[in-house]
Amino acid sequence: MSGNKSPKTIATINFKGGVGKTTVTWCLADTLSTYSNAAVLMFDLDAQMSLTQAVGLNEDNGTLYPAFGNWYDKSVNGHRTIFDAIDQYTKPAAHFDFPIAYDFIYQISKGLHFVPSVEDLYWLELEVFDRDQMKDFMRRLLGKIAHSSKVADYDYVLFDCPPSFTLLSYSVLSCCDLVLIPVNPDFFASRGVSLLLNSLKMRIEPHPTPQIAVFMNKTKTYANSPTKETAFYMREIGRICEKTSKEQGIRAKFFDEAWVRERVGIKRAITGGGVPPDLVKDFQGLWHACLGVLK
Amino acid sequence: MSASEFRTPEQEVLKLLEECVELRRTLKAISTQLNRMENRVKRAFPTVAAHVRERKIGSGHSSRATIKAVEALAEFDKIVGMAASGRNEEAERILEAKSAPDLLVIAKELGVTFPKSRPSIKAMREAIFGKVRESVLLTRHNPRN
Repeated sequence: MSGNKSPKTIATINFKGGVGKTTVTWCLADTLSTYSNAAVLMFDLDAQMSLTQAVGLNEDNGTLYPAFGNWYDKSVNGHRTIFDAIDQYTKPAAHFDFPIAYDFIYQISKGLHFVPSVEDLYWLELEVFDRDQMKDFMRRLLGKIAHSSKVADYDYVLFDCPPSFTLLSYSVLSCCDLVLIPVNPDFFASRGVSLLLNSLKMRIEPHPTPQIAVFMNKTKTYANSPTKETAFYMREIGRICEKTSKEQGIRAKFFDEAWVRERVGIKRAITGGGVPPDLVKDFQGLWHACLGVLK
Repeated sequence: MSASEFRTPEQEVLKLLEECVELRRTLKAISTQLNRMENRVKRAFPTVAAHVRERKIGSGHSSRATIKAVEALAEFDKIVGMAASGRNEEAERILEAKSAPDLLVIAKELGVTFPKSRPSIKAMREAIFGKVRESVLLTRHNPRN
C-alpha cells in the first residue's frame, strides 16, 4: 500500500452496443500491463458480464477456468462482489466499510487485476433508485482501494461500462479522469457519439464533465491507412467533437491519428492469450493519445 | 422418421443443380421479357429514348475533373452547411450543376462505392446527397432540458 497517489481512471463507454467497448478495455489493459511496468485495475461494470466471462472462459470446453471459477464462487458466496459493495454503500445510515482485498479483486497477472461483474447488476436500478445515493460510490470505492494495504498500488483503473446510462455508469462518469468512446465507421455508431456527447454534461451535473476522447475502432484500412469510407466518418466525428465542445462547454477530443484497425476474431484475444502482435502498436498509439489528454 | 427419408449428399447435389437450372431458366425468361419491353418503350417514345442515350453518353466521364480531392471535401462541406441550414434546394442545385467527373471525385473522397465502374450522374448525385443527409443528421439534436 502507498495511498500516496490516486490512479488515473478511464471509463470506456458508448450507448451503442457492439462498438468494441469490452475488447478495447481489455486490450488497453493487457497492452499496458504486458508492455509497461504499470499496475492496472480493470472493472467490468456491465451486467451482461462479457468481460468477466471472457477473462474466465476456457474456450476449449466452454467452462470457466478452475482458478477463476473457484475464486469467483468464493467472491460471490463471501459477499465480496461489486454488487455487495454497492449494497453496503447504499444501506441507510451505514458506514461504508466494505473490506478491500484479493477476494474482491482477482489477479489475472502480476500487472493486471480485475473486479468482475455479477448478474445482480441487472437489477441494480430496481433495488437502488436514488441517483444521488449512488453518485459518490465509485469515488469512495476507489479511495478505499488506494488506501488498502491488502492490494497493489494501481497506476491506472479502466472501467468497461454498460451500453446505457445506469446508476453505476453515472457514478463512474462523475469521478473518472477520462471518458473513452470507441466508435465504428458507420452511421449508427457515429450517431451514438453525438447523442452521448450532447447529453453527458446534463446527465452528470453538477459534477464537472470529465475529459472525453473519441477514437475510431474497427477501422477499415487500405494500404495501412483508413479507407475513404472510414475517413468520412472520422471527419464527421471530429466535427461532432468540435461542435459539441463549443456548444456544450465540454472537452471532447477526437483522436484522428490513434485508430484501431478492424480485425476478425479480436474478441478471442481475451481468451486466447493476449493482444495480437499486429494490433499492439495500435493500442500503444491509443494509449499515448489517452495520456496526451490526461496530462 | 427413418434415415432413408432424407436425401443423401449426392442426391442433395442433384436436387440443388436441378433448382439452379430452373432458376436460370426463369431469369433468362425475365431478361428476355425486359428486353422486349425496353424495345417497345423505345419504339413508342423515340424522342425520349434519344435523349436518354445522349445523357448516357454525357455521363461517360470522358472529360476531366475540374476539382481536386481536397477541394471535393470543401465542396461537400459547403453543401452540408447549406442543407443543415435548411437550404436543401440550393444544395441540390449545386450538385446538379456539377459534371460527372467532379461528382465522381466527390463521391470517391466520401468513400462511396458504386456497383458499376461508371455510375450514372443520378446515382452519384443521390449517393452524395445521401452522405449530406447523413452528415446533417449526425449533428442534429433535440435535447430535452
